[in-house]
Amino acid sequence: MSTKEKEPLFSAKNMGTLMGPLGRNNPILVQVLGICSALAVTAKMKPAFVMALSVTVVTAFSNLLISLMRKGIPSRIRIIVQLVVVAALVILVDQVLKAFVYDISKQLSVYVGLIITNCIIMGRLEAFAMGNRPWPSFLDGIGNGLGYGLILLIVAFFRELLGSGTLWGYQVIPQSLYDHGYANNGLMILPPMALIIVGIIIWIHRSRNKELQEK
Amino acid sequence: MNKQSNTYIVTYATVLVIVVAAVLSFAAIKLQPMQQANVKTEKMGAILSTIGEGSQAGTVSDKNKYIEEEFGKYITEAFFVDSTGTAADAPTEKVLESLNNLPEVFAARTAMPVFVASVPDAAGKTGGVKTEYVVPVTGKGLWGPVWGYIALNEDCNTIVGAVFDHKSETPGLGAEIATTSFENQFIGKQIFDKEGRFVSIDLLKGKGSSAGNPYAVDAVSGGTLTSNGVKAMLGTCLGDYVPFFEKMQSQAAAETLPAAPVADTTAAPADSIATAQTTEGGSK
Repeated sequence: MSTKEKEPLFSAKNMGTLMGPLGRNNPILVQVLGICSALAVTAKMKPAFVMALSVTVVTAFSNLLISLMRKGIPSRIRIIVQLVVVAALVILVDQVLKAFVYDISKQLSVYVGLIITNCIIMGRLEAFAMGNRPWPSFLDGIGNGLGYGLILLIVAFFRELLGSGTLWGYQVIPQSLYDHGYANNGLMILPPMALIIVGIIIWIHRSRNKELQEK
Repeated sequence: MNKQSNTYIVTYATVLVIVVAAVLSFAAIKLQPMQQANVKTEKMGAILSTIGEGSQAGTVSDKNKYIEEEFGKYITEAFFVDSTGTAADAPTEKVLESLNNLPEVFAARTAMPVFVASVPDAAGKTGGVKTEYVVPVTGKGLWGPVWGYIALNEDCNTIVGAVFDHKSETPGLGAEIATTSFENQFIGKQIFDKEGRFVSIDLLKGKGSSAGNPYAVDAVSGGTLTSNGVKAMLGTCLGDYVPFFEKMQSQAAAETLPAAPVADTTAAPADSIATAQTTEGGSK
């Protein structure tokens, strides 16, 4: 495509693109994107994991496609073009899941629709894929999907443990504790607690990364 | 080429949309038969799991074939009943098809599906098999439809198994109705009280609040609106079957009595089918 020197597939810059969103540049913690689904699907770990996986697939491939198309997209309708690509991918994923892994697709049902509304996808398309080459864009999509999934799983871990006494569906808090008067915290199951946990994680994240703090 | 010109934008948008539409329609058409097979398998699998069969579905390589075979093995008959409890025989395939539009079926109340299962039972009086009745139920949850299948014992009173499912209840909250821990609560519960009145199954708030109550189960915590939907669904849909259940019960009572003439005079179409069914089940 260009005459620039060939970059190795996993150069330092590309690795930075891939790993950045997992830590310092996390989409949820720093850009505060994708909060809505982080609240909705983190009551249990299993749905949170499936959601993280599907978002990673969709961000990666929509980034790749938009990056391939970026030279031809008219800038005045670029948002609509991005939306069409994302929606088409999500529908395609949904159809394939329904045909081949029906059970998983049933677990996903609501989330597949939610993926389209995930601000991270549109955010990455606008901020990265429109101005970068396909391979880095693909890595950026994977990195952001995983960074998003990481936070989802951390939040879901605490919410499921304290709210239901289970992890991944298995009982981990022993019955003897319940017999001594311990009770599951019902508030943990409700969406507001997800917001509070995300807030606490952001707090820890900022205190460890001083450059993120506003003066 | 001027990428800001209207011609370019309109052409680009048109081409893009046509390409995307073509890809999606192609995928939908190619995948549809497989999706429909999966949906049918799921319904048959749900019916089987209410009677405690088809449990190997997760481990076999060809799930659709396995479920099909198991279904043929255990579900001996299927028919429609109307709101007076009169049964009309129908091919199993047709009864299965009616499950695709249950809300209309229960609105019309002229042909509500019933599946008859013969289940191995060592302690049963009919020589190793017993008859169970599986009926579908359907209603509204918080966000969308909820539905399920209830298997009743020969007495048309005691629940032997229940399976629920939903379109879009909140994961971790209302969606818990589709978990085995919720469904297993129904086993052994009864839908008629001691005086023989239809009471359905109540969903009570709070863990353990239904302990010892044969007519209630624990509701889903944090899923009150879904639980209310399930309760309403059980009340109305099982209620629609009550004339049929009562007919079966009075017929069973007549059978156990030594006075044979009584049983003869009560021979109605529903009874004759049911009698044929019992003997059929007994001969296997």
